[in-house]
Amino acid sequence: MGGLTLTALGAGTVVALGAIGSVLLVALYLLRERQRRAPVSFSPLWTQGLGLRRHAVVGRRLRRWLSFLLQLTVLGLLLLGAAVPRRTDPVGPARTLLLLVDVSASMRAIAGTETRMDLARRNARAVVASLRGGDRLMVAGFAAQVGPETGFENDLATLDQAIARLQPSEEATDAPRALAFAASALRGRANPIVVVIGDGDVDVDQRSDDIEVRFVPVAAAADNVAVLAFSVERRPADPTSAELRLALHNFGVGPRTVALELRAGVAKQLIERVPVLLAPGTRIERSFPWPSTDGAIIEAHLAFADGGRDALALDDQAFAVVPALPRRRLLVVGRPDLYLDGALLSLGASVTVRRVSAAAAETSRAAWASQDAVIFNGIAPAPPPTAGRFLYLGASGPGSPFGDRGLVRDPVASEIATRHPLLAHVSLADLNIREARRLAVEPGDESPVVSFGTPLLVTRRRDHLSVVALAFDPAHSDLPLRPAYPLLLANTLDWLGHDAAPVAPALRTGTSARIPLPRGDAATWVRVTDPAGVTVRRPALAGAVEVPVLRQGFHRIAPEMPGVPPVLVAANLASPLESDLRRTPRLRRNGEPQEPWDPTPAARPLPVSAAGLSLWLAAVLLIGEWWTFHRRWTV
Amino acid sequence: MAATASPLFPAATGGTAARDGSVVFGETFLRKLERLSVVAKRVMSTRAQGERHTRRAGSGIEFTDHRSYVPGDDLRRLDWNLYGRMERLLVRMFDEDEDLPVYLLVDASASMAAGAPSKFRLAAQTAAALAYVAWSNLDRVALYPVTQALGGGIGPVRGKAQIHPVLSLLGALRPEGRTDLRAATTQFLARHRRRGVTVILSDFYDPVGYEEAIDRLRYSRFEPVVVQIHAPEEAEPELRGDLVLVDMETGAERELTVTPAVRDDYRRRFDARLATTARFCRQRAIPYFSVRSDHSFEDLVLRLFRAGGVLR
Repeated sequence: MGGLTLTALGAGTVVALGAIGSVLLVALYLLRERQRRAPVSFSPLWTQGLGLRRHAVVGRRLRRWLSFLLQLTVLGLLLLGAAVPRRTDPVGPARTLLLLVDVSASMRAIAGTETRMDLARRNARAVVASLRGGDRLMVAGFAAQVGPETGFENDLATLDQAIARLQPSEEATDAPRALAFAASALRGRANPIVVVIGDGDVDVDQRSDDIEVRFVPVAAAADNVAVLAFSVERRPADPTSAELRLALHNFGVGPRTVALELRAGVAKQLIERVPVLLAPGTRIERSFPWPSTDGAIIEAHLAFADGGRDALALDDQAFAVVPALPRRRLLVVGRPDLYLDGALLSLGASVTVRRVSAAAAETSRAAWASQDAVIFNGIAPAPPPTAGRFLYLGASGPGSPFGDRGLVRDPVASEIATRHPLLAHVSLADLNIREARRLAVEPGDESPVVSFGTPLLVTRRRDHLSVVALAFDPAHSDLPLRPAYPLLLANTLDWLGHDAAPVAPALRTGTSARIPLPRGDAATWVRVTDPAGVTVRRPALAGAVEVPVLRQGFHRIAPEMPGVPPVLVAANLASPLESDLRRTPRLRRNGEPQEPWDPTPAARPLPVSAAGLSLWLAAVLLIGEWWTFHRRWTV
Repeated sequence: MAATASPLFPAATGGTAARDGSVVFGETFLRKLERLSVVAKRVMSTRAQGERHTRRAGSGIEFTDHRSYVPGDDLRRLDWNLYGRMERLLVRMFDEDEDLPVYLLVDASASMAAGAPSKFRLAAQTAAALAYVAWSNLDRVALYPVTQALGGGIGPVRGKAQIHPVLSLLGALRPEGRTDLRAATTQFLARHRRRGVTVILSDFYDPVGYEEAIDRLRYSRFEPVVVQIHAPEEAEPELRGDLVLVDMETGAERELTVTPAVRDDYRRRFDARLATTARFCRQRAIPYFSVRSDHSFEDLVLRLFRAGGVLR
């Protein structure tokens, strides 16, 4: 059996305070004993009937002593309560616990009248209340990052304050990172235990076997509709417009009608309002043409038809910035071609064209992979390249990536896949071709234009290799004379550049984004202002700045360089795991589901600490003393 | 004459002045007092001539009756004309103007200091007023402070001029000591054989009882008048809480927690004590007055005493 340990006040302090209080009480007691003297004319009038029985006098003195002892007891209880005692006789050996509380975006979800974060805090307090004497616990919140709130403490008040400080973030959960942190923090400590409180799955691998992991799920299933993706893309084929892409997902169990509102500018002017019916569990993707104003900001909001809301409001909105038109570098290898040059000129200033003669084709081979596209005009250097983005205008000979199986005269575009990206807005009807090469098509290749089984236009996409080939030389057709020619070239460049230079989607919260600065390599400082208006000064190195994205919305990145305008970057949650509020969180050890831990079993004694009990007892005694004193029972 | 306040008597204009210069009574009050006289229910035998008619043959001029001569009668009062006609020695009897002894016993024990104004103050004021009334009727007045014994007093004396020594005596008195009316009346009776009206001004807080003292006066054919004075705080005490009660006379101490119940018990006992004293006096046809110390002594003298038959 052990005793009590005082956690808030030292024993010496308690003794000193007790001595001072006792002296004061004794002084007050003596003062109380010096009762008021009241002269009366004829004391028998007062004392008749009262008698002077000895036992009454003794009883009175006993009551006074009892009152005095009561005051001393109350003083002792108050000191005991202030010292916050705890048992030092643990049931088992002292443990070291690390309490990981999920503070990801999904913890903002409303579960009834409170949020998941409230439930998590309650569970966390239950964990703290379950501590035994000698146990020490660290409180840490985790989402994409882990933030310890305390060291390994056994002070209940400190732990409670730390739990109260936990606030849900706007980031997605990264449980493995949190577990790695816990393993690192608990390494070398006695009887380590990790307690995870959260609404996401926790997978514990073999490496963590030496640390006991307990999981307290925050399970409060709720319906939710989320904007899972929101981005704006610029197309070289049409520098005057952009394409706004958006994905919605209904994670609920019932259909939901929402109004998708698109707002633009700082004033958030409503541009588009589209009703969308979402079946349960379905994902809908929509795209909208958008005027291509570089740096314009767009916000997407979901408004619910019934005027209500869903469980998680954070993912009902998304943010995007219209990017600048990507600059493309083209290498044209082959003979001079005015028609080709004219068609490329129509792509605008964002395209840089470098020309190499057919004789110098081999010398430029090393630069092919670094180009946005290489156009072989009438030649096919052998061996064919294995990486890069290429357009063959009249692929023939041994260098053709599709082989050369002979000649076809006067081919006619008999089958045209008009929905193919290469043929968007392109009309090849009545196209006159003098001759074409018969290309060998391999599995996986596509032939959007075919002349009675002979492909006239072939595409191939392999790892690190994208190829588009015309089976005929445009110079041997009337294609260069048609409006379809520059459109076909633009579509081809878009298709080739699709995987190479995808339009950067909005940043995801919880990540760290590397933002290139407009002016190259200069080392400078950058002021980063997040959506909440908090500005942080960060260094820019090697022409880019590393920005941790913690909040959803627009981040303003202003280099401290004269003449360099600030850059706006949008960040969204965009996490299906966070938006899916119907998942049942589980703890899996090596893939095997584990039972969740209940920190508040029914057999647990009343959650009243010794300190609280002392204070309550003192209060009851004081009230009793007051009650009996005013009734002259104890005087 | 500058009017200064006396510790006993209120200042008034144009009144009787004490030797120390303080004004005793107002002029109007004095005139009212001079119209009063002390009433004795039985005619007392006197040796001095006063303004009171007695049935005793005396030296008055108003013939009332004859009686047989007995040896020792004044031969000058024999009615020789009747003797001539009837041959009987008869003595002429006249209504004699006889003075009335008025004895004022003022309780000066420590308990009389209680009250604001104190009980002793009212007792002294009343005694002085009664003395003045008696002197106005050429009665003799004796005044004694009473504690556990009969104190040194004045009289019996006659004449309004005696008011000054009386006031000096009363002004010099300080309430102290215990009350023992039996011992005091025993000494009083031993000192005064001549019967008269005996006014006792006291709170009657006598541990051994006041009854025997009053009865002794009655047995000695004195006419006692009881004026029981109590302080307002004795009737309605404000004491509460833990106290050490100190008896003003005995100095005895007693710890007591005064609760509302204790106060109620005290009030009941206090009222019962007043009622007992009143019943005692009523059963013996003794004039009895119960007044609070803050009662106006003028009202006591001019109204209550007249209504009670002590003065007329």
